[in-house]
Amino acid sequence: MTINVFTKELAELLEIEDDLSLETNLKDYEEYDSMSIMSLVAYVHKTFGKQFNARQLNQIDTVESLVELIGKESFDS
Amino acid sequence: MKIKSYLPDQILSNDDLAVVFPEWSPRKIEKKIGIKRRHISASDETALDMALKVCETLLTDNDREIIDFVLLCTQSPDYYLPTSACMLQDRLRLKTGIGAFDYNLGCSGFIYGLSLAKGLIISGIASNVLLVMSETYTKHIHPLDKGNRSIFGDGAAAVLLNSDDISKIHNFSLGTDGRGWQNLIIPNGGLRKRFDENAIDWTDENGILRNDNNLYMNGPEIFNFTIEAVPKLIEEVLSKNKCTIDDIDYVIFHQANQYMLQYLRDLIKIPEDKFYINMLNTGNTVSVTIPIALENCLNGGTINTGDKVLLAGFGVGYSYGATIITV
Repeated sequence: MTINVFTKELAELLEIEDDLSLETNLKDYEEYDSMSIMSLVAYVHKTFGKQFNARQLNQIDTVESLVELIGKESFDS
Repeated sequence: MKIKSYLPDQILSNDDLAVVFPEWSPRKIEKKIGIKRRHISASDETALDMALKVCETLLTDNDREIIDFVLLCTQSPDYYLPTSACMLQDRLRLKTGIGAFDYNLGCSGFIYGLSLAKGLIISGIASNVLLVMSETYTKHIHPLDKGNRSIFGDGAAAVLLNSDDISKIHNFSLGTDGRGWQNLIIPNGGLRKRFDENAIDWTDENGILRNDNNLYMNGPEIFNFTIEAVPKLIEEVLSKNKCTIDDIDYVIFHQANQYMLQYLRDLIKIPEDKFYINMLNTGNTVSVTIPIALENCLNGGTINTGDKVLLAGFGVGYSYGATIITV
């Protein structure tokens, strides 16, 4: 998956209407709440086969921080 | 299997929640967690009161004569001691020459209750076991904890089990992983950390307010636990009963929240048409969700006599369990 496709899917998942970039801070959005984080846990497990603990999830702020947590090697250039 | 459920009168709707939490969308709550309304116990209505009410609707005079064991599952007892089941025996006017005790389990409670009842009956210790689940989690929740207030509702359920019923409850798979004890907890109020009337409110990373006298749930960690544990649990219970998912007519999981259930269903590859999801009007009633679902399915004809139904509960502890029954 490319970063471009990922950011589109992420926006849809989190129900954020803006276009997301790597610099977008998810915590700036009211939509990024505990229900959305639940969706994110499922999405990351399904798409990348990865699970993060609550501490790691709390540290996510920008889209880039999420990409780094998932691992840049998981994305196509 | 005779089964009845009870839901308290007061209702908390998503619209009611949106009045307190304007940023919380009723549509999103319904879409994501699959809940529109929950029933809330009255301020003077306890789990014991609800247990009594549900048993009054379940039991005939003859049943009261033959019951020789009472098992009551609750994490909201009236008192530290005595065990609520003793008071239930008295209030139901059951015989005194019977066994009765509470056991403290949450979302796995119904499965464990069935396993205990089966053991009691097979060993000849009892012949007719009254198994009651009654829970008032909403009393444990901070009024400004929008997450938990959206998820949990109160309720009670009771089943009467005899040797014929027990012969239709097949093999169990049970599990415990106490490493997750801190992820679903009421920190204060026990003897490790006493109830503190001056407990300080704090806001978690998701902007949810509570203090240590209240219920705390770390949602992502609980989700991670279910992703790890539940597929293995289902594989094991199928193996212990020498069957595959194709041999099962219907599957009822503890109704935790819709999103998690849909994800687990897809992960385990359970066909959508044989998987129960309905917590729209009740919310997550902890140990009561599976018996509510069973009653609904039996009354609505979703499951019929002779059907094989897989039941699985998982949550606080962590504690989990599954079995297969023939209805």
